[in-house]
Amino acid sequence: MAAFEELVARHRDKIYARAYSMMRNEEEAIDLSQEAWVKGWQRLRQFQGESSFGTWMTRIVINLCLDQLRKQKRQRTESIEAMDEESGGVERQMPVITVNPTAGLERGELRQRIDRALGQLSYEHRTVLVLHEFEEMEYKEIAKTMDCSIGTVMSRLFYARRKLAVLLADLKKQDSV
Amino acid sequence: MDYDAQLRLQAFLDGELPEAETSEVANWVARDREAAAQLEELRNTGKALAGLEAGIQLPESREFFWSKVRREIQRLEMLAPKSAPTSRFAQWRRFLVPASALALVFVAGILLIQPVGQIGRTPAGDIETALSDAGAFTYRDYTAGTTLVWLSYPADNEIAESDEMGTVE
Amino acid sequence: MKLQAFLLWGTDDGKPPEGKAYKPVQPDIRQTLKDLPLKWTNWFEVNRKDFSLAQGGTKEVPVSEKCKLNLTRFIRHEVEVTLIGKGKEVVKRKQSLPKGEMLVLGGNAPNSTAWLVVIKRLE
Repeated sequence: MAAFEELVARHRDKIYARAYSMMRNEEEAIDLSQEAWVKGWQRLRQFQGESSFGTWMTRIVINLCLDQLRKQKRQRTESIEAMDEESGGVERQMPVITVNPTAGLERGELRQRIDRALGQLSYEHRTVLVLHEFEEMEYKEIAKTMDCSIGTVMSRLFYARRKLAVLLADLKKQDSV
Repeated sequence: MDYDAQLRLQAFLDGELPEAETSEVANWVARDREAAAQLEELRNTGKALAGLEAGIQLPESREFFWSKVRREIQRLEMLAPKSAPTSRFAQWRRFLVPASALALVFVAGILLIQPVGQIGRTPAGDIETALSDAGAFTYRDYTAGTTLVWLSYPADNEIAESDEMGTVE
Repeated sequence: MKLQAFLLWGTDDGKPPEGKAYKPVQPDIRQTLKDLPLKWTNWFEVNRKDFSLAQGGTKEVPVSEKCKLNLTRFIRHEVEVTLIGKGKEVVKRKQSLPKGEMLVLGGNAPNSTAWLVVIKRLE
């Protein structure tokens, strides 16, 4: 188990970061990444080396996060805004952001802004963004992971990106006032 | 711009378009300011997200976090029913897994060194074919983002004889 | 996709061969090579090529008189690299090459030295 402890030490930040990107809640992200490590230990003999260990662990934590988010969604009352997102169409009318809203920002400041903006996306849209941008999954793979069609993946990803651009531009405006 | 066109732009950016459509969209973007602006916006969003997770750290100490993980592992192992004796191969393979994990402890960043010499899959889904080299091996450092493929292809004196220096393009 | 290909010569000597004006490798490459399980202590740049690879495109990049690379770019960051030496395919490798990633192909050279072909993605 000493060797496994070393693996945990080496990859814990990455696994936690992925959980946090998806859950946007520190406590939940810690719990889920802890659960992911326990599952990782239990499944270690199944790890064939067909991907990197870090990638394999990341997939475990992503699936745990998705399960948790789906459970939470069932328990949550849908807001009108969330239903709007789901039905789509809003993102097609948002004006294109022509000025890069992140230009001239310090790294820390940029990170804060993106954090706030990501927190305002619904879990489906945030998840698609995380799986595509951080996990670098193809549309087909995201569709399989989220159990939806490729078309839905594309719509959600487009919405998420456009919404993020608008939110970042709004935050820049607010902060400069 | 209609919605399908917007999604096509996105697919173009993501490398998800069939080959035949890629140059068509590239030409369209070159001609159409609205399409170019939309593509640029999508691109900027991607750039903004890049490296976001790199600065995130688990807000618990190594020891504390590990103690929770270890406690949970031990608790579950106490609850698990004892399994039937496994085959000799399975027992041997169980030893290999911790051993390979142990190798990770001692060699920073190394995840797998494996010989190649035929068509095969290496870590992360890469495909390698050492066409005429049975003595080749692959080493991958995922932390550094470096892959080394060591071949037994001898260079003879061609390097020493090479006079080329300079940059093309 | 912007890439760089280097042909490097590795040696335990502190200098390149007589009459050759090879310069020492650039610091980032040297640091990367330091972390690899290679025994040579000094690396010199024999040749360097900067090139672009469009999506779906193929490029031939000569790295020496007798060796060249054939690169094909697939979707996302996937690139297939073939090293051809003296007209024969030596190795073919397909892998993801996101920004900053390096692929190093290498082997022994005469007098206990080594050759490396390093492919680095810049953008």
